[in-house]
Amino acid sequence: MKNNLAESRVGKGLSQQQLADELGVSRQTIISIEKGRYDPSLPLAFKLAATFGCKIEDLFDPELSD
Amino acid sequence: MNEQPRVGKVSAAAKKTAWGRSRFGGGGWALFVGSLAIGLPIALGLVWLEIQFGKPSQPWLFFWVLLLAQLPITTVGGWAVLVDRSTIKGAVKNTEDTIENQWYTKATSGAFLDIFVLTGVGSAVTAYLDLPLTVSWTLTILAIFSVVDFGVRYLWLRRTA
Repeated sequence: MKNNLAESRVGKGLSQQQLADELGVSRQTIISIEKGRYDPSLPLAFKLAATFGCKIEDLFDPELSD
Repeated sequence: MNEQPRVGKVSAAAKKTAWGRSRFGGGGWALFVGSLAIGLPIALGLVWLEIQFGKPSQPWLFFWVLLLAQLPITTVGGWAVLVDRSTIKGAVKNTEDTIENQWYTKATSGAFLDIFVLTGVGSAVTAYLDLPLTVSWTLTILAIFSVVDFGVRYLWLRRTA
């Protein structure tokens, strides 16, 4: 699933490690989500949306698949 | 205003160590002693059982070799029980949400299917060829195969991620 996580993260001035620490996951997890190689679980998607103060569909787009 | 929480975060992170601290308080040494206090009696009990069943010709040599081999494993088991995961350097809080957890799940399920095929084909071949494989050899081969299969699958998933 494609997403604009990288743009949102950079826009908030967070590094991949800082976002990973914030969410309690590994940096590799953030890298894989940003590359579209790992679809996060629903709880993690909600945490990501809460971190960026937006809805899940603002970050992830199911219509845009690889 | 922003300085206070940042300082707090840094000091909390500084407390994290490679082996962590005990969930019941104390530093690294308290955790080590506690782990040893759990691991030593278990290792001694296992060695005693093995001497009872093995009836070795050199019991003291047998005792020390087995104790030295098993004590690190049982001590690490004690450490796993006592350690506060949040104090381990590099340990993440929500492991179930990580991609490493997905790799682990995929590797174990793949390895299980491989073992299923191996045991099925292996039992047919050994029965057909009438190979005299002992139970201990069969189980040893199965154990090594399952560990190697899982390891290779996990590393492959990590490499291609």
